[in-house]
Amino acid sequence: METTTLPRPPRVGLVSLGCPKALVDSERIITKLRADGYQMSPDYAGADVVLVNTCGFLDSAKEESLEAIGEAIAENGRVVVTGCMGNEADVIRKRFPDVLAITGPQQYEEVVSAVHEAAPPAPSPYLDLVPEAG
Amino acid sequence: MKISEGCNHRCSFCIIPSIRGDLVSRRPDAILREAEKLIEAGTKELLVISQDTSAYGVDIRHQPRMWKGEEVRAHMTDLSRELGKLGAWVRLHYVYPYPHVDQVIPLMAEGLVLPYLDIPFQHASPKVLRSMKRPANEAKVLERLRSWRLIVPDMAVRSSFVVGFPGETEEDFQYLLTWLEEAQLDRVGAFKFEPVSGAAANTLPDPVPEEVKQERYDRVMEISARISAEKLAAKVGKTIEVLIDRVDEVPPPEEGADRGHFDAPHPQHHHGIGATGRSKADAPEIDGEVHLRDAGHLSPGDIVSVKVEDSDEHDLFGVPA
Repeated sequence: METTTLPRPPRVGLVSLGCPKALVDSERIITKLRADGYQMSPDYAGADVVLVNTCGFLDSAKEESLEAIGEAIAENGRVVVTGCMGNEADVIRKRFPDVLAITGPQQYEEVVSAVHEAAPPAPSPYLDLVPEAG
Repeated sequence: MKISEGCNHRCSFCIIPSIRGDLVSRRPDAILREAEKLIEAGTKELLVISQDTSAYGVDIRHQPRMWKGEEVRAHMTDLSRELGKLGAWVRLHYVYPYPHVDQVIPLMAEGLVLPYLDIPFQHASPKVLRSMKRPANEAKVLERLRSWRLIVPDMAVRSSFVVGFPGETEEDFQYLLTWLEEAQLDRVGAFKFEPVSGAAANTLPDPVPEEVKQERYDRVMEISARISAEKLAAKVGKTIEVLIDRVDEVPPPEEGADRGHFDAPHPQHHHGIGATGRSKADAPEIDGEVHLRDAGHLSPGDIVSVKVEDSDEHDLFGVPA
């Protein structure tokens, strides 16, 4: 019997920094990504893209955010940045020119579409409501 | 549960409004629906968060919405009451001491809302609070704390403070220390003032030298740790409700050895297996914990009665009652 394999869903790693408000933002982003067919990866190695939700409050917190971005770049390489430090895109770009995209706090649509660009879900005629051609 | 986004205040040390904008409140029915779904899915505790929980609904003029056949205003009091009716623990964070916070205290007495308030006071000296541009700073906070505790004697208050704010004199700082002795807060966090790029406070005169900040920080933490330890010690011997967060898989080696259980634990054999939870006075990750012994029969999410046997500066130790 012929068997059909569904495409492996893309996997997203998430590093969530900062306050509980930022944590809720991370949860909302995860909800949207899961609804779009993504799976979460608990480690850098298994992730197709790593999302870093940053804190931009105290300078010490910004430094921690930059370190987390650096770690994600070193461990995975494909990194999307979001959250409160996303308002300082130039600072992030200067230190990490390889970051794929930078979005700000509460920009759920922007960050989700950045993930879609970085790790597009493979088309599947069994899952997609609309054929690839549109 | 985030009930609103942004903040209408312009505290001089804070840049969050420039990052997240002015207050935008969610509809009360949307929040309640989310809460109901979470509880149906097994959530035992709702942490209400925002930048300023007491200001909830100000931007939408507290407009009421229908919820279960009744109108619920977009107001902290209405929302807290309705959240409380759903049956989970409801914990209020980031509450500023506006006068209407008084209306939430009876909900605690009724058991609808946890007897817990997280109020970031930041300072006590009126001069420093003015310079910080803190909202509701003229409220007679000590008197109100006393009146709240008359209604809810076991209320836990957590707060955070900034030391070394520009212009803070030794006299201002002494005012804070005396205030802390009076206020008897259960949990206190402190931060040394740090200029944040873009914050108005950066240009204030009379910055406090780093070593003075450190010294003041140490003194605040010393007093707070003592008060916290005294308040926790007063709970020893009492029976409290604890929400279990995690259960150990095996007995801790030295305790297991003490009680003579060297073998792998049998499911029925819960002696020697520990668990960790929180009382109504402990918010996850920021407050203390309750460490249980002989608790292997429990599961995360259980709410159990615990006899408190011991305490330290931050945590309680006990056994299922």
